[in-house]
Amino acid sequence: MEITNEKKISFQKYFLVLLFTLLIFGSGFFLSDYVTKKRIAQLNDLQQNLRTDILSLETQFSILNQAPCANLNESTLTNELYDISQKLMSVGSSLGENDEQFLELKKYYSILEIKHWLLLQRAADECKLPLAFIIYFYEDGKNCPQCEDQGYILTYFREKYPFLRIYSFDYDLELAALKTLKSVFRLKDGTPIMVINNDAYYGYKSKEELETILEKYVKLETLEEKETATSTSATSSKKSSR
Amino acid sequence: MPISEIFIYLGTFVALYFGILIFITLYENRRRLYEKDTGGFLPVISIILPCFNEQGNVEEVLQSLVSLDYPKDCLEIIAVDDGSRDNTLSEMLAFQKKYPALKVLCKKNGGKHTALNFAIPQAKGEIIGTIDADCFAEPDALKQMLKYFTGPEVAAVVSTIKVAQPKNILEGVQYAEFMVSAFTKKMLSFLGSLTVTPGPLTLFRKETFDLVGPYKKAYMTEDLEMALRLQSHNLKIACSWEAAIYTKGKRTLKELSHQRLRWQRGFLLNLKDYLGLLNFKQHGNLSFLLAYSVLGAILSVGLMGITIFQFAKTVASNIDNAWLIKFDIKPFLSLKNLDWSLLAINPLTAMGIIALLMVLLFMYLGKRFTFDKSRVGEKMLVWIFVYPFLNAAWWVLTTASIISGKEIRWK
Repeated sequence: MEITNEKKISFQKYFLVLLFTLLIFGSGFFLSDYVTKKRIAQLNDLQQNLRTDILSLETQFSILNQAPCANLNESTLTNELYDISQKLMSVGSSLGENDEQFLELKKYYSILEIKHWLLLQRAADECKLPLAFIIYFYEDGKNCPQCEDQGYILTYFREKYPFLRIYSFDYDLELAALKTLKSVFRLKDGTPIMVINNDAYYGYKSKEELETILEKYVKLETLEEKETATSTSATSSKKSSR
Repeated sequence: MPISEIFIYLGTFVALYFGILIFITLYENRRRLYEKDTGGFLPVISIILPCFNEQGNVEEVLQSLVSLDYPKDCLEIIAVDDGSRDNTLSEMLAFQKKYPALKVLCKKNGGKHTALNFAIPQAKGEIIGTIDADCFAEPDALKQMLKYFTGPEVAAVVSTIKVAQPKNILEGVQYAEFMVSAFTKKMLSFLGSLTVTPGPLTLFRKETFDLVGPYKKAYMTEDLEMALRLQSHNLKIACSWEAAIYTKGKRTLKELSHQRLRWQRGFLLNLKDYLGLLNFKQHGNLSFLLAYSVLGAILSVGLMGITIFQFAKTVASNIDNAWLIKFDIKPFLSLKNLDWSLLAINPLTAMGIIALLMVLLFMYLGKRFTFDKSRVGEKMLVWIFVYPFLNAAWWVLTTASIISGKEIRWK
């Protein structure tokens, strides 16, 4: 029986394999990088669209001052704002919560929320819309360990009670409009904070506690029964209702 | 970048590297995937069937052996009863009455390697075949394997093992795994790196045993040790895609785990005894691939550990959330609540998809090149998700069994 000597290793071949592997591996990175960039580009487009929408919203608001309430298309605007918040969250997870581009978008989104809130408050009064409002202030997990849980409970409320409008704001966001909002409600530090019809509530509130509080302002059963196709609230949700 | 991500990238890179090495080997050898014919080489073959407590299996395997398409005067079948405590011997003798040419040997129980070593010196064949009792061969298996004894340097030829009629999911898992293995084994044979001469059906030149010696106990993996020994003597092991041997898949997870622990433990312990094979200068591809197998095992355990940890974390966080809303999850059960961002492609998912596609391709090629006609598609898909976890768990248990020094029995 002969003993083979075909045991030589071909380093050239292993190097070629390495090149191919790097190529495929690199393509994977390139593809995902491309997708992330595309997503950010989409968000910029969306931001542009939103500027138009806001103008339209403001126009609607002006019309609202003179024309019948039936002209107000509240649900579309609410849905658009909700879409933005979802996409914003996904950008946040791609770029990182402290990324400057993300923070800029977040500021812009916060302004939209405030505008939306102002419009709907007035619409609710003048057109007798059965809406209830919660303004929610959160901070990151370090400064507010319970904000994540509170956010989740609020997201649950938003899903359960379609006529509840929840606006969430990063308490630490450097934004003049937000500072004004905080000063209007004379807010002190201590997130999570929820402002319900001008009353501020500090600290974590469980599902039951929040239901009890809301009962003071609105009949929850009524809201639950009146489920419509309308998507509600301008909150985004990862776990938290941001 | 978190350590878990680095680990995932490294794991995928290593898997991808192996995959590409296999594909390049396939490309290099594309014109010699099959041998043409035996060239009139029809030597006397002795097939040895070692049995221990194989009552119920013996008749089927013997029937498949006597039905082999091979000149009867050139085929010697030797059934060895290794001191069975059941009716194995009487079943052998009953079969012998129908086929007097069958040689039945009987000895005190000593393990599979002793049964083989007992029969080999008594075998008349120029070629010695070993077969397991829970298997049956395709009629043309011997002729298909003989084609690969192309030169005196080929010491052994291994067959293609398939799972016979997979019925439950676990058998489907094994079927798919064997298909992947069938494909890669052939490529490894081109790289001179086969590390097992499987019990189900392997043919050896008789003089191989004169050169390398008889079978050893080898931590209950005598077929693995024999291959490593042949490799350490720089002998060639060829692989025949055309020769199919069917084995009965393990029907329960316990049986399967027991078998895999035995295999993996045998691999590590035998490798420890053949550390010289890791010498790149002497053993080239084999050294590289052996080192690669060990690295692969470590990475697979790490990757599966990370996956299980992440999954458990997600489940725990969901339970925590559900608790916050007192399990009133109804409001969340709507399509619009699906978090689409989870489906977005990031480098990790892209790598995962590439690795998954590669395994699927291996499986497809295994089926195609071995002319497999079985239809078990959906079971294969289950394999993709289940197998890596099972495999990682077996590696953990194997390591534990080696550290604790606990022996593993055959059955």
